[in-house]
Amino acid sequence: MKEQLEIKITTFNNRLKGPTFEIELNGKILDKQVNYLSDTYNNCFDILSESKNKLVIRHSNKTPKDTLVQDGKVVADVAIRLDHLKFNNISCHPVDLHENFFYPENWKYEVEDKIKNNLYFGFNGRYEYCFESPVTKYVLAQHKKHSKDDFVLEQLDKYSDEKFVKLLKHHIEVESKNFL
Amino acid sequence: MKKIDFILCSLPRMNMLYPPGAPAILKAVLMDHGYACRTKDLVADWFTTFKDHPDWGTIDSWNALGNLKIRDDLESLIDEKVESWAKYLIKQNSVWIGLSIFSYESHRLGQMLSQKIKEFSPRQKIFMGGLGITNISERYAEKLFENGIIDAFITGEGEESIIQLAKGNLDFPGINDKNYQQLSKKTLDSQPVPNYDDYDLSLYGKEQQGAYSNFNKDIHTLPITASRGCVRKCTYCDVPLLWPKFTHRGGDLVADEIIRHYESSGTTKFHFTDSLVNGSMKDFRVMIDRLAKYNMDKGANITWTGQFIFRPAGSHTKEDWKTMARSGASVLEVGIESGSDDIRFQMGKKFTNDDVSVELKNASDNKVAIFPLMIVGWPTETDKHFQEFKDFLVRFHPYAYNKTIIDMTLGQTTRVQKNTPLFMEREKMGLEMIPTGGTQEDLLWWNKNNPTLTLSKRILRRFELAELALDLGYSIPEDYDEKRYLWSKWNELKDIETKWHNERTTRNQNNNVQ
Repeated sequence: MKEQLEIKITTFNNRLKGPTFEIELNGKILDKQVNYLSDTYNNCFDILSESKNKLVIRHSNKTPKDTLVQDGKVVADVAIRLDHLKFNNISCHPVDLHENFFYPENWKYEVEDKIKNNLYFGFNGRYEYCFESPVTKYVLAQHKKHSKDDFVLEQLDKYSDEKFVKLLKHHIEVESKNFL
Repeated sequence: MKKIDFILCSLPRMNMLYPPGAPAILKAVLMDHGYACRTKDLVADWFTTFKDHPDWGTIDSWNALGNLKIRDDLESLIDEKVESWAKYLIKQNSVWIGLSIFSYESHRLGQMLSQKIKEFSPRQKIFMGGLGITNISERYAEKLFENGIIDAFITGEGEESIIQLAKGNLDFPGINDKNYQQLSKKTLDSQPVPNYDDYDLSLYGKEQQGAYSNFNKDIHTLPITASRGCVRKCTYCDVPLLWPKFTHRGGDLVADEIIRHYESSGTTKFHFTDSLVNGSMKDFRVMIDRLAKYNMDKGANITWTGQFIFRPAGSHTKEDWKTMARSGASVLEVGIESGSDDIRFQMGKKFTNDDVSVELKNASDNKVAIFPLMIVGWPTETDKHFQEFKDFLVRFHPYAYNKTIIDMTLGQTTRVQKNTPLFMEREKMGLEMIPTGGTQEDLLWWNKNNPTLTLSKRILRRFELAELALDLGYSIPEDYDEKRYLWSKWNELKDIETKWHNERTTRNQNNNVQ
């Protein structure tokens, strides 16, 4: 199916070097940027989706020395941060984006095999976002899944004036004892 | 199907007293500018589909209570209905689908329908408009827009903005922001007559979901808009900020519109959607004179309902009341708000219980029915004020018996809404908004100068007043729905309030120790 993919990434550079990253869908490279020195990356792609899809954002060519530290604080870094992903103009739910994994690779030191809940990609590696077609339906279903109400009212049928008034009076009594 | 520019629909939950005016008004405006537009009345469709369902009460509550979980089979029914709407609207082959959101009670369906439309036709353009996205503190339309579920939204009045949207000028104030501009009198006076061609008007005015329980059976009603804004600056109300200036159409133009509808469709019942019909006494007198004369000359039997303000005794003369009655005034909704003079004056209302007495007498003598709108739990309302409220109900209950007071609403207790003088002056009054961690809830506030008036106390007073009023013979059609709403809100908010008070008390104790 023909779909539209929009991606927004904030990029971080240490003034000497910018991040190198590529965007790939189902094994096909959509775009590649080398030593990218602007602050943000925005792009829109017309894509062909399959029933199961994998979008990969790969960050590469970084060494630990690219992270500049002063007095124990990071003052500059070479990295990318995924800000949003939109399919057919509909944003993926932030929780959905955080549920997908980043897999570090080609890193000098030992790090976890995969990282969740972080869209700041400081290591070399790949972030994989898996989705199904039709994409809009899939993205909206993720919205429904992750937009849980803080409070759900379930017992409306058990409501009665008398019971509620009793509860109110009891609550007012407790309030006046405790904090009024 | 031939491509059109707009299909506009209003969404439930709205009452069935009169057809939703916004799509009809905007259709006329668009057609006047050469755009092809249709309307679809989803309010009537929802009502006629579900009203006889054994679980109609639950289905109806699902709209009003955004967090209500209902049985899976009922959820499926609603889902099917919304899906059928989405497919129908897409099939109309329109550039824009417009969803009119009248209040927060349309939020749940609005989001669901937009998502369904995008699911079936991702590139279909959708926009929302209406009071339900304008005068709310929640970022409802904004969030849907940011997430791409809708493609635009219009706040404030839509007459000019929709033309700009059609032209693709999304920078126009009021499109995708809340910087809307108020329509001028000149623009208001030049608006075309609303177009109800796509509505089945015979569905309205028969069963009204509670509105005017004792009135207007089996006669359909058309909405009329004669003004925007209000001449009062009531402290709880956001109308002065929404429409800083009171603008109104000429009384003769309004009477003309009513007469034209009567002559073209035979409609005899009209409802004013204005904040008040008698803001400009000059134009109001012109209108009622004209309608009274028309009724007398033609035997037309035109009647109208709408919001009205009481004024100090003598401001409305006996002759005014007689002419009003002859012009067809049948039910006037009046914001009396409190039974206490002191509270009513604090609210910015400029009449006393004695003035109420004079107005009710005139209404009764001329057989014009009154529908008082009341608010319980004003931030400064003490036990003494509350007793005065009860005394008010007792004093005027003979008018409930003779049906001059046809119905009444007691509301959902005082809300401190953003964009109101009450909110802006809150610190001076000692009011604090209790944070919820999410969107600010305007029912959740505390007045340190009246500390025992907690949310529970306010709701309890609402229940006690209703019990007394019903005992005295008043009719409160919305009582059951409002109480259920308050029950749901109380369940949602009581622990947040308690936690906040506990933290406040601890903080105060610590400060005292130091």
